[in-house]
Amino acid sequence: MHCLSNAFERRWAAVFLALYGLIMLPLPWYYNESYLPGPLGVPMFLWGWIGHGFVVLVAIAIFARQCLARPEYQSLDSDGGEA
Amino acid sequence: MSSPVSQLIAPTPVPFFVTLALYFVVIGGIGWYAARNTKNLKDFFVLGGKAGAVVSGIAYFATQYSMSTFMGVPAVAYANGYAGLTISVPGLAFSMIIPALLVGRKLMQLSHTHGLLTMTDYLVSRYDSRKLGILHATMMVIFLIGMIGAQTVGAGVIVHTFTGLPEWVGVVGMGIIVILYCMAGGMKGAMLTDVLQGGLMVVTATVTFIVSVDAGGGLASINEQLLAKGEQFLSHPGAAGKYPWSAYFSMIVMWSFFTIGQPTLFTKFYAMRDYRTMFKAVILGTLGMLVSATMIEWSGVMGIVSLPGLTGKETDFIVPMLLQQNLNPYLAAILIAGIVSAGMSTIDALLVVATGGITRDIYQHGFNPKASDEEIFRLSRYVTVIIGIAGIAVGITKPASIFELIRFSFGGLGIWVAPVILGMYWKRATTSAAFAAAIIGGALYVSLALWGQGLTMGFDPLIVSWSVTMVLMVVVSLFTQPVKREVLGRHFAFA
Repeated sequence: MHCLSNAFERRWAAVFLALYGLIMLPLPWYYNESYLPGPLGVPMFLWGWIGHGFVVLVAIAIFARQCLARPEYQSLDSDGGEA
Repeated sequence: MSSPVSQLIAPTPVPFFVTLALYFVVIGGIGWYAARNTKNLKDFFVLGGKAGAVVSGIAYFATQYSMSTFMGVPAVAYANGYAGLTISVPGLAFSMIIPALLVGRKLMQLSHTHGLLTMTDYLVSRYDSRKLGILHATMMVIFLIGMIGAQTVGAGVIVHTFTGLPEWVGVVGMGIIVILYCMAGGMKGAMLTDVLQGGLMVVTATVTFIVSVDAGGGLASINEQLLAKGEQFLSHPGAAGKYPWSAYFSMIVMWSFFTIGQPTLFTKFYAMRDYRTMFKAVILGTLGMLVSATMIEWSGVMGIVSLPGLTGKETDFIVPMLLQQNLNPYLAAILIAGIVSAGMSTIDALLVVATGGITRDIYQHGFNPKASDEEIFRLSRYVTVIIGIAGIAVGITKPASIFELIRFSFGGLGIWVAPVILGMYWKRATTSAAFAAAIIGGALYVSLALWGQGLTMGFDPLIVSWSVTMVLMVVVSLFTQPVKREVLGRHFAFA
């Protein structure tokens, strides 16, 4: 089983790769060559990284929950199936 | 005139040695317990494929955390301001899910159905070539020794700071302790000690963060003072100008996607019991890394205000100094044990994997196929000692800073991402192409890293070299003989 095995896997791979690609962009709340203060004077890009990190963590939790409800995730010997 | 470090630090050898001695007694006890329960080769290398979620999750981030996380990156943050956190904070959340998504699940299936124990096993199996396995194991051991050496460098700095003893004492002491418990308990010893060490690392990161905020007069006050020093401490590319966008992009990709090339990652996935374990480990490990690496590295920025004046290599002392200056000696020593843990838990995983490379992949598969598992198991303990000594030698000679040593070695291992990824997703990837990618990619990476940094347009040499290896592998694969149909059938049976 891998990230291209079926539609479910491809959809989630797209979600994670979109989140991965998003944080690489030089958006002001991720990368900033001027000081943009956030709460407590901390640069916005640090709050942006932390917030983005927790969004990814929530996405992982939802992905895990959905995966573990599927039959192919019940045993390591079963294959990923094509959908 | 003496340096700010020697002016500020007053050695406190008694609390330091008493605390660390107690800590090592506990670690030694775990190693002894693991040795009693390590009965065969599979136990030694991948914990019999039965590791649970807590052990796997904590062991993963304990292995990923190293002296670089606790000393090297805070030092960079101290020199650059907030832009220095670019090294790991933006990519932290992806460091487990990207490898799990792209290769982790398939590795678990292959391990359970075909008995693979190491990354080299995977390459040999996929490309049907023992020679490729020997090439991988040889390159892997060389770069792993560099990584082991980097960890011992940090121990030398800490011992020198807290006791006044020469740095080599810390390098050798740490090396011997890890060799002993690893030699005895293999992966079980490594992963069980990782649980204790990982917990201590989280505590160290949290306390250091609180102490550094308090010492600087609170977050708002610290940021006002940083702004007064210059806006560059609060923006990219940082006070030293080291983190433009190309470096930002490189760092995110380096410590998540290129983790796929790290042999210790394969071992961690092979050791997991089932998918439930994998997901729990990914969530636990990601949360642990996200919270504690952010806090410890952020402490380096806060130190600019409370402990100003460190320059060059002295910046490596920022975290130990924050603890020593603001806590009582025994508490500081316990937390320093957390930093030592970061190095030890990385070394133990590297030692186990490097041992497997020499004993199984080079000796058994390359020179003595008749060697029994029992013979390899016995040999592994001696090889662990030899590799450990080589790592200690690197630590004593200290050819580069902690962070630079780790970055270079990590990149050398990362070259193998092309044969792994294409081998997993493209049936047409051939053995000749894998050889070409590893040899040419390895030579290109080393050349760029050592002599051609100016040619990479600000990107890490690994990213440039890996891009070349991907193109090379595709082109060579299209013109060379495919791998046998039955081999591909085995590898692509899981869809």
